[in-house]
Amino acid sequence: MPVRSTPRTAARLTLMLAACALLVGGVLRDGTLASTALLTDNGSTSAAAVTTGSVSLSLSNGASSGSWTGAVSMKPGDTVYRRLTVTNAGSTRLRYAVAAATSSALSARVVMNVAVIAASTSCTSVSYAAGTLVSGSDLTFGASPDLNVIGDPGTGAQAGDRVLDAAAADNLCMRLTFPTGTHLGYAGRGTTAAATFTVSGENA
Amino acid sequence: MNSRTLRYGIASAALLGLSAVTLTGLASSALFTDTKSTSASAITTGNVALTLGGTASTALAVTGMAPGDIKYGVVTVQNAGSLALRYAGTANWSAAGTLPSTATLSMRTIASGAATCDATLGWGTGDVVTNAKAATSLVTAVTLFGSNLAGQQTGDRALAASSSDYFCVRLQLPGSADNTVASQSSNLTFSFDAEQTANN
Repeated sequence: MPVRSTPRTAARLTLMLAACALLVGGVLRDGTLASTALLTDNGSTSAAAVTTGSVSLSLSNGASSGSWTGAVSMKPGDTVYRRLTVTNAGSTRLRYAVAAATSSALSARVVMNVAVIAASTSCTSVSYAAGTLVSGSDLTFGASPDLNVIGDPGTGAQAGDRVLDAAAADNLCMRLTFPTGTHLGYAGRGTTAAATFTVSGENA
Repeated sequence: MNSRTLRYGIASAALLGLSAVTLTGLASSALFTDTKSTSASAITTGNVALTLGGTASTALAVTGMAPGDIKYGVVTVQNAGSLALRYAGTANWSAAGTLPSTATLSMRTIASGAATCDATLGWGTGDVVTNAKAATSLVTAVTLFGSNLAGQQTGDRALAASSSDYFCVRLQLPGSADNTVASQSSNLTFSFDAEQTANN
């Protein structure tokens, strides 16, 4: 006698098929797990803390400004002294160089010398004389708009570069002289020349 | 004796007869027997176990690392299990950034944990790995050698039971590193994944 398919028997059949599928799936999955089962181990060393340093310069001329000379009014024969403090504000020892740039022919006539003087000391003829010359001697721009005042900003250690430990500072005293015999004549009167000093630091 | 009494008698006799048959059957199935067992076979599974040592956690620790700085440290990997194993090595930085993607790691094998581990080792030739670093500043893992996938993988190192590998590790911040690497901190660990060599 044929068995007639009813909705109830169809549902039972579906459930049975699903159960079989789950069973087969489980076996396959377990078979896969079993085939990849291995004895393993994992270990890690203790951590080594690595911290990079930084190179950071701060400039101050004793006030809030990082300008070296500020506004200086000079006539032939004058000499002025101006201070700039270069501080290593980073965490790594650095070397630095100072380069100057100008676009004025008038600047070409100014003669510069820079000495390191005692910390927190004003920049005067006396402190300058007691200091150590760290720039070239009697520097002038001459025909070039660029001038290396201290060291060389090129990468790596260069002659004249200054080295500063972290948090150390150089108290730089610049002597500016506007010599006589510059032959600027009337054209030089009231003329303003701007020079920019760039302090470049790199890790030492 | 009426018929009812006769039926009871027959039934009782039948039961007695069955009992007798059963007893006879039992008696007739008795045999001389014996059982023996072999001596015991001791079955012990092996194990895969690593023990790590060395100086790397302290020797590679550095503050104020500058471009061009190099640090050296030793990592010892010992097979402390009973099975031969193969293993892979990775370095892991605790924080992503330009430090993991800039600082390089190199490894060489050395004779022992106390052997020379410095710049005199002739780095570059015969290294296990040279100047490995994180692929990008977004990842923290650095593959040193091998792979932790199951089975023999390129670069996996084999280690017999009770033997050790000694590595000199070089951590370098290249001289070309720029300000993007400045003032960064990250903790560096070395991880090793081992698996049995037998039947694998």
